[in-house]
Amino acid sequence: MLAGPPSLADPEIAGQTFSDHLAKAMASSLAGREQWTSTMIGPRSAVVHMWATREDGTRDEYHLMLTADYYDQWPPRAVFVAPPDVDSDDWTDPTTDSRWMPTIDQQITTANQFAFHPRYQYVTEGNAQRQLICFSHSFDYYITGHGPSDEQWWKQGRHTLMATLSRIQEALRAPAYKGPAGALNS
Amino acid sequence: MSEISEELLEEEVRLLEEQIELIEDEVEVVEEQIAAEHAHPTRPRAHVVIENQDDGETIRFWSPLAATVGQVISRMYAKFRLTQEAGDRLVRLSDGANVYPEADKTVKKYLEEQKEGTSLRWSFRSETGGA
Repeated sequence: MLAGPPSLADPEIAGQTFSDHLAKAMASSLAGREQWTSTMIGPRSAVVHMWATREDGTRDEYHLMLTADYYDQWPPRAVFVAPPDVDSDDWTDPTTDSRWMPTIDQQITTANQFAFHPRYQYVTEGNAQRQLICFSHSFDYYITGHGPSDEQWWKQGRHTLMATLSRIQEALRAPAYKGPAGALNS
Repeated sequence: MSEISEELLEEEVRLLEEQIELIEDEVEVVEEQIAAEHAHPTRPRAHVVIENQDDGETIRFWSPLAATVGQVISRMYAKFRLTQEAGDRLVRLSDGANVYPEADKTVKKYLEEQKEGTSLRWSFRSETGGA
């Protein structure tokens, strides 16, 4: 089990492990069924392109950035991002009324297993407000004062970024998934 | 790279992805056929396919119909090299039904009840916390 404050992983090992685990996840049966694709955007980060399904069957595409600076002793950081503008290469944090920010009904996803906050106060970062995909297979969960039970902790060797992706995919299905937060393309 | 070649490349990738999907569908059909052949009364066994959603691994093995679902679950943990933990979730892929309460049934009885042929297709994952 994890103990103490997170410390950065060896960049080379983290990058290789991340790359291996991403390849395995993208080759999984679930990835095939859900039509995941991915784009490496750095040695320790990638954007996974996923689909959400509304109650009426409408499908919406989302982009999830995974970052592996603490991987895989700790889970990857996971955030929904908006695609780059035509004159940029940067994937950005979507606004709270963005078409790239999902609406997920916490009452349905949980039993205290998963929540999504479009804006959350990061006390450790001077009360900065940013997105939090709040569950124990997401790095930010551990730096925002949450305390999982023994069974819920991220376990190196048992969990990979596949665990992160599969839970988020679950939340992107009706009835938990309600559609994009808004219509803005940013 | 020019815009036109990028478009051609994207189209090629799309076509390749479609081909991969078709191949995956064919593999699934063949797996079902193999499972059906091996379910012959003289070779009474079921094809078990379990996806581990924690690491992406999929295991496949044969189970005697006389074995219990609990024995199949034990074999799954051994093959995944895991010990069972509170909060683990094992569900039927087709409808999300919990498998653990069926542990005392034989595979034969379970297959008869689920009415989905001769394969057990399950999805495994451990518990998460979040709020």
